[in-house]
Amino acid sequence: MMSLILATTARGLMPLLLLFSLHLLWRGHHEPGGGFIAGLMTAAALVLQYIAFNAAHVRKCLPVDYRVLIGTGLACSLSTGLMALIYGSAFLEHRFGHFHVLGIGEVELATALAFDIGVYLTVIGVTLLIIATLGDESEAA
Amino acid sequence: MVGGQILSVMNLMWVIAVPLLAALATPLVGRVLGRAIGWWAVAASLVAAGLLVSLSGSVHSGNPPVWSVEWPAPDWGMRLALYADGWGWGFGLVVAGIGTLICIYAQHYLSDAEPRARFFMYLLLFESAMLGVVLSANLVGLVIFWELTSATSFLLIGFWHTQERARYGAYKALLITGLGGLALVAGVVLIYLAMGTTDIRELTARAGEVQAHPWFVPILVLVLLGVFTKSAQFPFHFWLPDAMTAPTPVSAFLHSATMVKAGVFLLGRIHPIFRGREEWFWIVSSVGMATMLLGAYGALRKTDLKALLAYSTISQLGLITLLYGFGTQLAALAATFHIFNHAAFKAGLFLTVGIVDHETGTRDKRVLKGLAKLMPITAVLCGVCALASAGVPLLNGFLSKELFYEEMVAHTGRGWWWWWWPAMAVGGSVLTFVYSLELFHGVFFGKLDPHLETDHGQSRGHGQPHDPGWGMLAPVAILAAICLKVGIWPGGIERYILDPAVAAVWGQPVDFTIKLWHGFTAPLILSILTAITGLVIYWQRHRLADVQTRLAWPFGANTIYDAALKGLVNGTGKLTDALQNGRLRSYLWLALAPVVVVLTLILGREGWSRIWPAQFSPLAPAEAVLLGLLIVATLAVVAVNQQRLTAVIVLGAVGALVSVFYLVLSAPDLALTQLLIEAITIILFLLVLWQLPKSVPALSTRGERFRDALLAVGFGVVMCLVVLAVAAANVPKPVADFYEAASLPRGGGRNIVNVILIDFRGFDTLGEITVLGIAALGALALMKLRRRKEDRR
Amino acid sequence: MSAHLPILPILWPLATALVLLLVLRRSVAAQRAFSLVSLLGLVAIEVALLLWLSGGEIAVYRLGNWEAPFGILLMADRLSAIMLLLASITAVATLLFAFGDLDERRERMHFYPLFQFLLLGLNGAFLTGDIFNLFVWYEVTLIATYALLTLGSEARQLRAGLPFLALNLTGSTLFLAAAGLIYGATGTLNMAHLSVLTAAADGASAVVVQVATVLLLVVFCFKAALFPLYFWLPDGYPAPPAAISAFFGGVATKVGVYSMMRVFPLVFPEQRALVGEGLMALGAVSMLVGVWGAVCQTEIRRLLSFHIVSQIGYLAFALGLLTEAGVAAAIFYMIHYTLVKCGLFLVAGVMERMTGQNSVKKIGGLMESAPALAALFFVAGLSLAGLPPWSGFFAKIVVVVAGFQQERYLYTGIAVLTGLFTLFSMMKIWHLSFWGEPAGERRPVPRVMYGAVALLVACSVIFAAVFQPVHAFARQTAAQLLAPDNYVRAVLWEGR
Repeated sequence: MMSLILATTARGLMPLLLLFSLHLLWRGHHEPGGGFIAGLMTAAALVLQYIAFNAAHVRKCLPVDYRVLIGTGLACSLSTGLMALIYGSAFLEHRFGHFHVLGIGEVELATALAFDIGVYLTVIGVTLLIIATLGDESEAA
Repeated sequence: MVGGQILSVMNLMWVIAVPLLAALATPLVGRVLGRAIGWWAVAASLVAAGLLVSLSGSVHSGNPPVWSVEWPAPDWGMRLALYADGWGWGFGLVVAGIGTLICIYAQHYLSDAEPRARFFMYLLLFESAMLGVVLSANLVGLVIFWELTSATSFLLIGFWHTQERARYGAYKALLITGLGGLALVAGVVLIYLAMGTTDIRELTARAGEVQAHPWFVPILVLVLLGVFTKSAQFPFHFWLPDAMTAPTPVSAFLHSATMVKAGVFLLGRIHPIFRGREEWFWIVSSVGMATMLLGAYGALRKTDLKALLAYSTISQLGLITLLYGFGTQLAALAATFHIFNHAAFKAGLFLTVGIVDHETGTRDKRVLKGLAKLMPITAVLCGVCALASAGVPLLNGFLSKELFYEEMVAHTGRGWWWWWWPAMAVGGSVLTFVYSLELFHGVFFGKLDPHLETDHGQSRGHGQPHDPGWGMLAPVAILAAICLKVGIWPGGIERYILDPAVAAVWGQPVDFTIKLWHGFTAPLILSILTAITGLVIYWQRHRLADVQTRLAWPFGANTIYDAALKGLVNGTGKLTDALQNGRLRSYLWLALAPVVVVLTLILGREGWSRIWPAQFSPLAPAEAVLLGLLIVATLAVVAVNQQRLTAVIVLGAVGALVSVFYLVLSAPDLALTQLLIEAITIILFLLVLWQLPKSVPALSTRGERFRDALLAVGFGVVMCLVVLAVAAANVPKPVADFYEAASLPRGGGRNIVNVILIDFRGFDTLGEITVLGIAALGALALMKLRRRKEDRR
Repeated sequence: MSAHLPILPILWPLATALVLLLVLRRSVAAQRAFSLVSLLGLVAIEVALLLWLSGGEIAVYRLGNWEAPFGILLMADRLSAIMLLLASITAVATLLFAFGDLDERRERMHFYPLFQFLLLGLNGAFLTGDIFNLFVWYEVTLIATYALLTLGSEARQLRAGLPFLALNLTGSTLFLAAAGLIYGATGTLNMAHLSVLTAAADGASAVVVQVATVLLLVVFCFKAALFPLYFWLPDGYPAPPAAISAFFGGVATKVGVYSMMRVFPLVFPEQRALVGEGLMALGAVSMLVGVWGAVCQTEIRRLLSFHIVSQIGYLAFALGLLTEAGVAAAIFYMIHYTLVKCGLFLVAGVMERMTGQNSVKKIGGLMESAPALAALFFVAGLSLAGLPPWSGFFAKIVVVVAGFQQERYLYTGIAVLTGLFTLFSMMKIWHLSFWGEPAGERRPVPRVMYGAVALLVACSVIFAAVFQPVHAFARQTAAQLLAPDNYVRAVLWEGR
């Protein structure tokens, strides 16, 4: 399993893939992308680490309990929806607005992005939890 | 006067409520009273009887007290309504009266080792249900109490539940009476739907309407099924002898005044509604006749005295049923009178047999002889009851039997073949005469078996058999006294109980007198004939036994019942094993094949003509190539599926081709998602397959594979046609148009797919990511718990 | 807050599950307490909802404030309110029972959050007014059910899990196909909108609508476990611990029946004959096949599982009449049997816990050692068999009345006869396990388990006592369901 070329490639690709996935997440509302794809991309990057190294290495890359990751993702999406209740509107009503941020220029912020982040985190958590569970199993065997 | 009215109205409800509440309190009271708990039950029954007596004024004045509660569903005419007309009141009095005697008897009969409180709780519950049956003014209420008697008698019959026979008998009684109960429920529902009411008095008033209704025959059959199963009429008679496994006081109660009498009670109840129709006469009378003969004949074959009594009950109930079938005034009088007479002497007989059993430890008539020497009082009491049953003058049985003969003879004017009825009546009565003599003369006279006198191996250790204490004798004595009193001087009961009862059963007041001597008439001749023939047969009873043994029919109702139950369990077992065979292939086949058939029918009926007129856009070359590749790849998956790794990789190729399709159809989001999912799924697959053998053995035969292929192709073709139909439909898509228009201005995003996922249908997405989360948690548990278990080993 | 009442039964269990998963992960005791408190809160919410909707109002909740038919919306009426409350009452009993019944490793492996997720899926399905969204809640229910079914990973659970998952996923696939077809043929997924469009469909789309009707019928029958789509149930339901199978047996299959009630009269108002005949025929066969399956079983919970198929047959038959009386009978029967069936599963759980055996043949004489349990079983068993004065009697009566009213003599006769077989199998348990010489061990049973059984049996008894008002309510509910115009008006006109 431990192949030097693979390991080097994996190590090198990791930041690129992560950046790309974040890009997909950010632009998702306007261009092809979104939380789901971005989550899969990140998961794929981490799975690559798993293939190149082992489950322990992946855990080192992302040192959290994956269950917490799933829960946080769900909670993020849920609370985005709940925000609308505070404004007295219906669950899951999204708002968006354009803000001027010094040095960057016009920035669009939307609650949809927060929802998408929830999706993103959940997808990562789920993929990693399953891979790690199965991986532990195959390593133990 | 008003106060009195209220009191009597209240009383009616309390007649049922007192035994019921007493029953519910029994477990608690039992802790205080200990073994004296029987007296609690005696008191409750006595109160119920007393309450009924206190109502006699209004019953006799023809103004029956009523009580009703708006439950369970007055809107439907379903209400718990009670009324005490002559029939219900008289019957209730017998139930509560004999119930009291039974409780006194049982208090002395039960041994200390037995759970007394439980026994009396069941008994009171049962008594309460039975009182409910007789006092119900509404068929729905009657059915409720009716079923309650089935359930509670089940507990009573199975009281000695550690004995296999007791369980068997209880189960059988419940199933057979349960069957009838269901039929009765269906019948009552039909009555309700036909007439719009279940109120018995209203139905009686509208009897003509009931009889003219097209549903009359189904209603009649269903209700009679209820009656016949409950009253152990042929061909449902066979549960009753097995119910003898109950403790003897219970048998005495069940067979004299309650349970089986509920059937004939109902027959009397519906008598004014149904009588007069040909169907009523033929069904009821024929079944009654068959049962009477079969019961009497069967009684003679039994050596167990309780079994003998059970068959005699069947026979007597047959006689009553037969009479009600005739639907005449005289028949109604005879039947009603006989019900009360039978209650008295049959309860007495059961209780004496109980005494004999209690004292000697056996109920075998071949062993029991000459007991009069040891138990003179018991012998006298048994004699009174047995002779009443035989129909000997100066006892109550004689009077009702005379009326019975009178009714049978009354119809002979219609043609010579109507002599069939009196002939069979005499036949049944002769057999009755013989078994009654066996009970009395056979058991108490003749040579005493020295075994009984000296050795008490089988007895319960009371020493030499002797007359029991007053607690067990007094109830029998009271019953015997009633038999004598009615037999010699029938005037009192006639006025008090019989008068209102017959009026209610007939539907209007009946003018009659019952006299001991009314001349040298046909019935008297028949009675004398019965007695003489009976004596001769009794004298020659060994020959009769021989004949019976030779005629013994191996194929009884019990055999059928047992075979049916066994067949039911075996047959359903086979069916269930065949269906629930644990094979996924078979499950899927059974599930999907019908779907294909139904969809083919729908498409075949009107599909073609609606799909084909449509113009489909031509296939581009690139699409054609892709499609070809996709088909080849899919077929390859099927072909290599035994090589797991190869199959997974080819499956990945299929997925990749699909994502190319998305690209061609300009959906880059979908293409990328599909590709990523394929990649991750393959890795998951590989992780799992890592631990499994590389190839799968062939689990299916060639034939099975062919069948599966057939189903798969069929399903595929059908779905393909349906999708073409969708394309042909080409309906406007207002929702899709809205999404396109509103995505940017109102959803704030140019990527419509994302706005749909996050905003328009964000709720779906929330649900779907939850699905993912649950799946991951499930997978974790699946693996972790399994491994830990292995570690433990 | 009342404006948001319809969505609370969905958000509440989801939030509870997340709290259990994120905050209370480490302490089983805290998870128990929080689950119970949250569930009681849910019951309170649903009582409020029921009171609100009992007047006949149809509450519409537009998610994301998108106007119908473009966004997803929730649609709560009397039936939704009944189902929600029924599910959470059963859940309370199940949860109490689980406190005594479950081993700690199962509790630690997320039993409590998974249970909340299951409730989430059910509640979502009971509230949604959108066909595709219904599919989503089906998925949530399915995956949570599967996770709970296999929780513990015993060999039997794993074995039963495969057909369960395979058959249910087949059902999901068909659902997805049906949803796609419906969208293709009408251009919408909103149920009320569909009501208008499917009725007007002609040409090829009329064919597609018919096909989709059949597919959805199959899907719901899969979920409800009607013949010949029930095979996953008798193998699957007895496999997990009693608390879990009790909840499955009581509530989980009802989501299929609920969907039939919701979808067919509303979404396919023109397909009544097709749906009605199909349901009645399948129902009649299910009654018999189910009860026959039960008759020959000796393992208590497997026996009870076969009974589910039979009882669902009753429901399908009554529902298939598609008259007010028939649908009301189905609703009434459903309430009765949810309570009683769940109660019986819990009784079976106590019996297994007490004796260490799961076969009626290896248990005996329980009446002497556990008289209270015997009384509870006697009431629940007779009730299931339809004997008065318990709820089953009234439930049977209303079904029989509805059947005879439509002159469906054969099917009604089968329904009546099924009662006898049910009685046979219930008394078989009584006769072998409660009567007879004592057999099997006697181990202590936590009191809370008895309490859970008693709670359900008491509910069933009270339910019988208030037959008339409950039935009147069921009747109103049925009338509401059978008048799709009300929903169309509430969703498409007032909902705008």
